[in-house]
This record gives sequence, C-alpha cells and structure tokens, in this order.
Amino acid sequence: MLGKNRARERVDEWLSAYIDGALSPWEQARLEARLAQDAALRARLESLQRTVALVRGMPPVRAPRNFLLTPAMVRQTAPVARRLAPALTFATAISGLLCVILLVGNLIAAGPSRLGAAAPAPMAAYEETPQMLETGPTEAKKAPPASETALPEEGLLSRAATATEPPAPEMRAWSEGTPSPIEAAPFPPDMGGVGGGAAPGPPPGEPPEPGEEVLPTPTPEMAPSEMARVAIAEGTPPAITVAEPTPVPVPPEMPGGKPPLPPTSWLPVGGLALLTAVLAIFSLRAWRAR
Amino acid sequence: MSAGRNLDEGWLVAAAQRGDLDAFNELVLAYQDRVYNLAYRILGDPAAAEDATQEAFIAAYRHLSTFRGGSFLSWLMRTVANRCYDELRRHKRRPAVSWESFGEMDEEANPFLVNGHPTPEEAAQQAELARFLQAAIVALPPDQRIVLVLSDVEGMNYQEIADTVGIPVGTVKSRLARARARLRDLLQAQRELLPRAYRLEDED
Repeated sequence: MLGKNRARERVDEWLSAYIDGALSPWEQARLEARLAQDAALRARLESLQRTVALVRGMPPVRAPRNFLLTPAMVRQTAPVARRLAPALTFATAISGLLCVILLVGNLIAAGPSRLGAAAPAPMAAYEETPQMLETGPTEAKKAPPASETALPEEGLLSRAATATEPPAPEMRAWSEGTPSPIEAAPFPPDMGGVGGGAAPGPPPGEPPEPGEEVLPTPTPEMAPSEMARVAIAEGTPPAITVAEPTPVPVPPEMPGGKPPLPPTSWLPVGGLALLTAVLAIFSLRAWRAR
Repeated sequence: MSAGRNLDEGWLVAAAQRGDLDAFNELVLAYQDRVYNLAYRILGDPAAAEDATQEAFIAAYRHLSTFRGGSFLSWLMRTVANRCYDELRRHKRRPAVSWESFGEMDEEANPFLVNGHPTPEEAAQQAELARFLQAAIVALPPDQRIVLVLSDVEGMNYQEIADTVGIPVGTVKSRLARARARLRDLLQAQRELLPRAYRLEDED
C-alpha cells in the first residue's frame, strides 16, 4: 500500500515537473514515451494540467487599502534603538575598561612575591621538619623507618602516640639501654590482642599494683620476637615510631611579602565583568534593531 | 520589469535605506497589490492578510539595511511569505471559508451552487470559481500551500521559491507536486460544485 502511494507520488512529481518544463531531456523523452502508450497516465496529466491552469488563472486580489507607512509606524522602536545603541556601546566600553583596570590593580596588589609564596607552602613545611624533629623525642630519630619494621597501621598508631603524648617510660628505658625498674615477670602464654598503644605503663619506681600483670622489661639481649610480644602486651608497638609531627607549622612571612588579598577584593572585578557582558549583549541587540 | 523601472527601484531602495520614508512609500504603492495578494492566498483571510501586509512593509523598512541588492520584489515577497508562514504556525490559523464548510452552504449563501440555473455571466462564474479554489488552497498543509502559491499564483521558478522559503530545490519540486495532486483530488471530489466548464474528470 505504501509502495503504491509512493509510486503515485513519484508519477505526480514527474508530471508536475513536466508541466513546469523542469525535467531533463532524457526524463522528458522517457515520460512522453510512456504517455503515448498509457491512456490513464495521459488522463492523469490532463487533470493535473487543468488544476494548475485553474490556479494560475485566478484573478489577482487587489489590496483593499493603501499600506503607506507613517513616521509614527516606524518610530515605534527604531528611534529608541538609534538612541540606545551608541550609549550602550559607550557604557560597555567604560565598564570593560574599569574591569581591566581593577583586575590589573588587584594583580599588582597581590604582587609576584605573594603569587610565588602561595604555591610552595607545602615545601616550606618540609623545610621546617628538621626543626620539629629536633624538638621531638630523640628516640624517634634513632628509630628505623616504619616501612622497614612495621605494618602501615602500626606506623599510624605509633605516630599518633608519639605526636600527642610523651614517650612511655618503658620506651625511653628500652631505647637508652638502661635496666627497667619494673620487676621482671614471666610473660603469660595466653596473652593476646593488641593494646591501645596510648596507655602508658606505670611510672618508674612505683611497684606494680596487686593483681596487675608485670611484664619483663625489654632489653637489648632479648630476641626480637620476644621484644615484640612484650611491647604488644604493653600497648606500645616495638621500635616503630617515626617522629613525624602532625601539626604543620605555618610558614613565616616572607621578607617584604604582603598579606593575601581577601576574596572580597575580586568581587568587583567579577561584577564588572558580568556587567560588561550584559551591556555588550544589549548593545549588540540595539545595533541590530537599527 | 523594464530597465528604467529597475533603475527607479534601485534609487528608491537606496533613498529608503538612508531613511527616506517617502521613497519607501513609493515602493509600497508599487508592490502592495502583489504583497497583499500573496498574503491573502496563503492565509485565506482578508483581515489577516491586511495585518500581514502592513507588518511586512514595516518589517521591510526596519530591516532595509539587510537588503544586499538583487531583486527588491523577491526580497519583499520573501519577507511576506515568511511572515505568513510564521503566522500559520503560530496561530494555526483556520481560513475564513474552509473547504469543508464550502459545500455545506445553502444555495442562497453560496452563489456557486446556483450553477444549475442558467448563469450566462462568465465573470461571475470566474469569481465564484476563484473563491472555490481559494477554499481548496487553504485546505492544503501550510508548507505545501506556500510553495503552490509562490509557484502558480506568483509565477516564481523553483530556485526563487527555494530562496524565498529557504528549502532545497528538490524539496520544492516534491512539495509542489504533492500540493497540485492534493488540490486536484479535492477539486475532483467536489466537482459537482464547480461550473460545468471547469469540472475535472476523474481519471480512475
């Protein structure tokens, strides 16, 4: 059905173009050959030709009145556009100029030293690290890197402990190789789990409380595995502390540097840029209306 | 159009572009019948055609700076055709006399039906035929209607129509063929309403 309709449309298209003389010579010769043989096609062409002749023969309709333009008709918008276009263009230029001046002024006020000082802040923190290490526990400097001796989690635990609290007395004694005042006791075989890591042991010189487990003091002669067991039981991981200060010191002001511009200093620049864009759009429309 | 007329047109257009409203009104007087005729054939309503014609002239005057030479009439007709096309799309305007209502008129209201009576006046018959045809034209879809009017009422060739409407020449050919075929079918379906001399025979 669709194919038949499409074929009829195609025939009508050929006949319509034939009436207008818009077929190529080859197409015209082919159509005329078919018309000579096909009476129905001839009838179709004749009805189409009569339809076109009827439309072309329609008398033209005359205008019922004059459509002359008056100044009032064309003054409705054109004069307004004429007045506004130059003013809007001027306002756009002024706004753009102010925006540029303000932008340059802000950049100068910020200065190259400020622009340079803002970026390397992390590097400054790294430069300050030795100072911080010097103020931290000396034992930490002697400790091997965490990656060599402990798992990352343990490293984190030890960092948290060393950064916030003073070193446990046991640790200090252990690292200095002095004998522990704590009385040695056999390590309970069923002792397990990992301590909190932040609980300090009893202060040196004090006897243990009754019922409190007394752990052997780690000494350099101990086997490493035993030292670890003791340290875990005490809640202080063995020899995994890396003195890495968590509070990053604020870099000192560079000599001759200026304080950073507050964010509000850039607001007028942004506002002026927006105003310039809006004015430019209206200016363009006004020039087009002219 | 003669060479002298072209020269006048060019001078008037240039003067109008400089803001000479009187020069533009000379052009209005020269082309208002063509412009109104086109608007009426497309819209099918006298009042709407008047509005479209007036608005087209105002728009043409305001946008004279965009006219880059060539045929001013073609540029003007393009302005009118576009305005009418926009009007059809915007309001889906119905014709004042629809094709469906045309055959439902009684004999007193529709003089065309008086064809059964002896009516020797050829001019009156043609006027009625024109009215009948106009009702058939406005029954066409807008895109086909504009192409048909520009071709068979205004006498534009395919390229001029393509430039005016802004479609390829191939589309003009196919739309025109569909418009003519549809108009033929409408006239054949209502051929009893046509004067005997203009009745189309059914080719099937």
